[in-house]
Amino acid sequence: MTHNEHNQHDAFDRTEISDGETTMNEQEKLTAYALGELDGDDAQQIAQLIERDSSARAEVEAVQAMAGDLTTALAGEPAAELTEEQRTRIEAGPKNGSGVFSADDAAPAVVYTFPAARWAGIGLLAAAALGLAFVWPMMTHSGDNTVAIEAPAGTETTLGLASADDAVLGERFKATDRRAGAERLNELEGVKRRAGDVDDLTEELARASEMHRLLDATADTHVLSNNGNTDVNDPFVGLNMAGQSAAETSTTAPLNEPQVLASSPGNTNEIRWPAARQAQPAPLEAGKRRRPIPKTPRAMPGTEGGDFSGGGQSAGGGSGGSLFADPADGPQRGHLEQQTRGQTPADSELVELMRRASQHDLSEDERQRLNDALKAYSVADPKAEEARNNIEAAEQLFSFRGEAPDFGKALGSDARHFREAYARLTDNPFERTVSNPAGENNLSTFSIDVDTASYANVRRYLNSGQLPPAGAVRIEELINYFDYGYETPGDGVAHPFNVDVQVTSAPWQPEHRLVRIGLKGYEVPMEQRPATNLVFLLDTSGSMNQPNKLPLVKQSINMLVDALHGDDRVAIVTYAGSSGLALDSTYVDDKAQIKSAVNALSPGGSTHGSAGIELAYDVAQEYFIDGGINRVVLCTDGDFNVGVTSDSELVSMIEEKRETGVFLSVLGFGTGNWQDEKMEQLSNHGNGVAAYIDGVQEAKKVMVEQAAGTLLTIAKDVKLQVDFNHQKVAAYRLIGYANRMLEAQDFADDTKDAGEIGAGHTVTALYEVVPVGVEVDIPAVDSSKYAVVDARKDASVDGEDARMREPAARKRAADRETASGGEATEEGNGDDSDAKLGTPLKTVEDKEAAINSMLLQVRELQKEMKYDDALAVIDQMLFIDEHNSAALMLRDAITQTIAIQQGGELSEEWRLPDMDSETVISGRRVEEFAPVTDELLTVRLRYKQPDADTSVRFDVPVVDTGTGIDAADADVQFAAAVASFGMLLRNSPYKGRASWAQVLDLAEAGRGADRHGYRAEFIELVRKAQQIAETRKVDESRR
Amino acid sequence: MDESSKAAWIKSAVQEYEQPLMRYAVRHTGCVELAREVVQDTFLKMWSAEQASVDGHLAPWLYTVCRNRAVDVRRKERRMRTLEHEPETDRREARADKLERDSETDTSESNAALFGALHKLSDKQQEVVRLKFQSGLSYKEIAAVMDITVNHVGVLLHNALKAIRQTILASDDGEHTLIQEQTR
Repeated sequence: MTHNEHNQHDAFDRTEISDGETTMNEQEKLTAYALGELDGDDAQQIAQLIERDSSARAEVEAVQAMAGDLTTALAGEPAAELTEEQRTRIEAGPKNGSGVFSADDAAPAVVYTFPAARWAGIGLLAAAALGLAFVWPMMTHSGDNTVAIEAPAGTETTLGLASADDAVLGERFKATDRRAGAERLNELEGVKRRAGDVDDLTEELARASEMHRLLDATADTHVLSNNGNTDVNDPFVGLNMAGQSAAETSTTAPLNEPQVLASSPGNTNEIRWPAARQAQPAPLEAGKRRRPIPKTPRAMPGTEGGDFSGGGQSAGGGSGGSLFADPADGPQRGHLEQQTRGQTPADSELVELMRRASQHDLSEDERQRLNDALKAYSVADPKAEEARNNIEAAEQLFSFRGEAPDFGKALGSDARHFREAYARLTDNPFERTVSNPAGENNLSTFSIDVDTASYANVRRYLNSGQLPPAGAVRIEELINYFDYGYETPGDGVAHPFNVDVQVTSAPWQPEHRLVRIGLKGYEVPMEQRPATNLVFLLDTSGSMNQPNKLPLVKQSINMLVDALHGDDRVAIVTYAGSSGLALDSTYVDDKAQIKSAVNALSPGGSTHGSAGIELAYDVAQEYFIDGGINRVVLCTDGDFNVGVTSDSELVSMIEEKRETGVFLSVLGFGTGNWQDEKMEQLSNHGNGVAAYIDGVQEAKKVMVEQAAGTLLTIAKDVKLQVDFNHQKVAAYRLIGYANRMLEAQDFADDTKDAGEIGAGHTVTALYEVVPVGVEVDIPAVDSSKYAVVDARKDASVDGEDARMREPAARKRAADRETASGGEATEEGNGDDSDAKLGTPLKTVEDKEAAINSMLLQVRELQKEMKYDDALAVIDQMLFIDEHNSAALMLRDAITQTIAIQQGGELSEEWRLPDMDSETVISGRRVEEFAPVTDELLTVRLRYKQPDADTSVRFDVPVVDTGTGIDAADADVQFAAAVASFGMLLRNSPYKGRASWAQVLDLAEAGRGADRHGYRAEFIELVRKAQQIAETRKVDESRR
Repeated sequence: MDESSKAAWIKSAVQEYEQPLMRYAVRHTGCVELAREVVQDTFLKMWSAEQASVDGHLAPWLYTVCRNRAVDVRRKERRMRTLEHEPETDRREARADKLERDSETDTSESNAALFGALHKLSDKQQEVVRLKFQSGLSYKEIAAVMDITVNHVGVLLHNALKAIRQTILASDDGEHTLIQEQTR
C-alpha cells in the first residue's frame, strides 16, 4: 500500500470517530433504510422524511444504486476453491482420523521431514499445487460438459455467485434481508456464543490429531484415509495423488461416491448436479475422455463453440470445462482433438510432464511445452484464480534453466510463502554442520523471547481436561515461564546479563547432548529501582465488561501500586468513546486516591484509542523522570481502534515515542482476540513487554513478583548466535524459538529488532546436539555442487581452479561434501596431517583437507607466538596451493607481527581485521581462520543498552565436560523436563524416548526450592496430561 | 441426527458456501493456502454443531466460525515472522491486491473504479461492505459475525458507501458522468 493510500485511509476512518454503541444518526439510518435494514419506528420516521424531503429520497436512491453496483461488481470477484483432499476430509468428518488438517501436523513434513531435499521439496510442492489446480480440473471437465449439455435451461443462473448473475444475487440478497427478523437476534447471539470460541475448533483438531497419532503408533501402518490407500498426511502419497494418480484414479478407481469426490476438484457444476454426475459414463470411458489442451483456447468458443457448449457457452470461459472438446461426444470433437494434439501435450502427457518437472527431469523442449500448455490453461480458465497463481509460479519455474537453489529464487515470494505457511509451527529440524570455509550452516541465530503466553494457554487446556493442540505448544515459552537460578551479574560487570551454559545428555535421546543457554539480567530490587513514572492506558470499552477483563485490570493495577514506592507516580488514562484522564499523575504516597480512581473505572462506550494513546504519552512526558522508568502501560483486550488505522502507522507512532524515552508495555486481558497480534507488535516496537494476564495468579506474577522486569528493560535487541564447532558437532537443533529464528547476517545488523530483557529476567534456550560419531537421524544432503566450486574459487587468489572444472572432480567434491559431518573431523584433526603430507596428495579433497589441518596448526602456533614455525607450515601450505588466500594472508600477518616485535610499525594494509567484526576477506569469514580446539560451540550475544543505538557483542566459548542429565544441576533437569513435556504435547518427531514418567522424574529432581510453587504446578499439569493421554489411549484401544 | 443426514447437510453447505467463504477467508488471510485451511476447518466444525441450532442462520454461523478461525490462523502465521512482519505484510497486501486487480481486468471500467474505491476503505469497512453486498448478510448478521453492534455496522457501512461515492466522484470525468447518471 502506498503512503498516499494510507492517508486516504485515515481520512475515511476519522469519519468513524462517532461510531459505536450510540445510535445511528439520520444519514446512517437513511442508508440502512435504503438497504431494507430498518424497521419499526425508525423505518416509519425515515419513510416520512423521504416523503417530504427530495434530497433524502435522492440519497436513498443513490445508496440503492451503489448497492446494486457493488453487488454486481463483488459477485464477479473470483473465488479460489478448496482442494479435493480438503473436500474429502470435510465429508469424512473429523472421526475418520483424516482430520489432521492443521498445517502444524500434516503439511510441514513436506518441507522439514526431508530437509535433504528442501529445495526439491518446494519444487514438489509447487508441482503438487499445480497438480491440484490443473490435473483435477482436467479430469473432471467431462463432468462440466455433461452438465452443461444435460442440465435443464437455466443452468447458468443456478450457478449463482460464480456466474455473476445479477438477478439471482438480487434475489438472494433480498431473501436474506427478509430472513433477518428481529427475533433472530437472540438466536444469533446464542450461535455466536457457541461458535465464537475458536478454541472449540482447535480442541477438536487436537483430538483428531491425537487419534491419528495413536493409530499411527499402534498399528505402525499408515492411517488409511477415506479411500483405502491414500494417506493424506504422507506428503509423497499426496504428491502422487497430485502428480500420478490424478491421471490414474479416473481410469482405475471404481466410481463409488467417495472416489468420485476424491478425483474431482468439486467444481461448482459437478457438486450442484449430482443427478448429472450419475449420468456420467462408466469409469473406463471417463479415462478415455481426456482432452487435448487447445493452444489458444480463448479462440475456441468462437470457432467451435457450438460443438461443445450447451448452456455453459455464455460464460465465455467462465467455466473452464466448456472449453475442452470431448472426443467421446462426437466426430467433431475427435477432429478437434486431432487438430490440437500436434501442438500441445494431451492431459496424460501434461500430467507426466508435471510429474517429471517436479523431479527436475525435463528437457528444454519439454519444459517449453509444459510452459505453453500451462499458459493455455491460464487463458482458458480465467475463473480459476488459484490455477493462474500457480501458473505464474510455474512459468518462472519452468522457464528457468538453473538448478535447485536458484529455482527457489525464481519462485520468489511463492517459495517463501510455501516455506512460511508450512514451517510456522514446525519444530526446528536438525541442521548438519559443515566443514566448508564459509561454515554458515554452523551458525544458529535467533532473537530472545521472554513471552510466556503459551504456558498459560497449555495450562488452560489441561485444566479443562483437554490436551492442547500441537500448534498452541511453543516450547520456548513453556521453558521461559519458569525462573532459573542463574548467577546474577555482579556490580561492575561489563554486561547487563550473565550467560550460563551447561552441557548435559538429552534425556529423551541419551546419546545426544543438550546445551542449555541461560541468560540472567541483573537484578534490580524493587527498593533500588529507579523512580518510576507510570501511565496506565486503560481500555474501558464495553467489551472489557467481563469478569476476566476490567475487574482483573483493576486488581492488577492495585497490586502494582502496592509494590511501588511512595515517590513513584501513577496516572490513568482511559479510552472508550471519549478518552479521558481518569487520574492525573499522582504520587503513590497517595495510594487511597489512586485506588479510588481505579475502583471508579467502569466499562462503557466503544474503543477509540488514538486520542487516548496520545494523551497517555503526553502525561508520561509531562512528568518525565530523567534516569527513571518512564512507561505507558496499555491494558486492553486488544480491540484497539486507534484512529490511526493501520498497524504499521501505529507502530511507527510507538517507535517515535520510544525515542523520547517513554517505553510501552502491553498487558493483555481476556482470551481469543485476534488483536493480540497487534499488542505484541506494539510492545516489541515500544521496547516493552507483552504479558497476558488470565487470572489473579498471573497478575501477581507479572505485577508483583516480576514487577522490576516488567517495568525496567535492561537490554534491548538481544540476539543470540551459536557457532558450532563442526569438529565436535555433527548436527544441532534449536528447541522451540521456531518463530524467532534470524538469518546469520541479521546478527550484526543493528537495524534488526529483537527481544528485550527486563531486570532480573531469565531467558533460556536449549539446543539438542548430535556429537560427531553419533549417527544423525536425518537423510543425507545432496549438497549443491556450486557451493563447493564457489568455496574453491574464493580460496584461490585468482578466483579460478581449472581442475574443479572437470566434471569428475566436481562430483568427488560433491560426494565429499555430502559426508562432511563425520569425515571432516578426521581430516580436521591435526594429528594425521603429517601422515597425509607424506603421501602424494592426488585429489583436490585431499589437498583441501591438508590445508585445513595446517591452518589449524598455524593458528595454534600463532597463539603460542611461535611465528617462525608458523611460517614454516605456511610455506608447506603454499607448496600445495601457491594461491591459497588464507595462507597468503596469514603469512603477511605473521610477517608484520614479527616486524612489530622488532620495533617496526604495522602498516595499515596488513592489520589483521578485528575479530569481532564480520569482515570478509576474499569472500571468507575471518572467524574461519580462528578454529577452536576442544570447544563444542561458542555462544555469541549481541545486545543494546536500553538507550543505545549500537550493539555490543560478547562471546562465551563452551566446552563439553560430558556431564549426564542425572548429574546436571536442578535447573537444567527442570528445563529438560519442560522441553520433553512440550515435545510430548506436540508429538514432536524429535521426542525420542521421552515419556510422561520420565518428565515427572526429571521435574521432581529439578524442582529445587520452587519459591512460588510454579514448578509444583507444572508437575501437576504433567500428571493431568499423562492422565488425559492415557485415558484417550484406552478409549482408542476399546474401539 | 444420523451421520448420513449430517453429511448431506454439510455437503450442501459446502456447495452453497464454499466460494463465498473462500473469498472471505482469502481477504482475511491474504493467502489462498491458508484460506483453504480456514474454510476446510469451518466446514469441519459443522460436524460438531447441532443442525437444529444452526439451521436458519447457517450463513452467519459459517462466517463467524470462518472469521474466528482466520483470526487464529493469522495469529499463528504472524508468530513466524514477528521480526519481519512489515515487509511480509506488504507482500501479503500486494498479493491480495493482485488477486483483486486480476479480477478487475475482467470487469468493466466502472467496476475497476469501484474496486479502487473499495481498496481505500479501512479493513473493517471493507469487511462490512463485502459481508453485506457479496455475502448478502443483514446488518444483524454482520454484527454477529464481526462481534460489533448493529449500530456500528450501520455506521461503518454508511461511511463506507459515502467514501466510495466520494472517491468515484473525485476520479476522472468519464467516471463522473457515469456515476452522476446512476445517482441522478
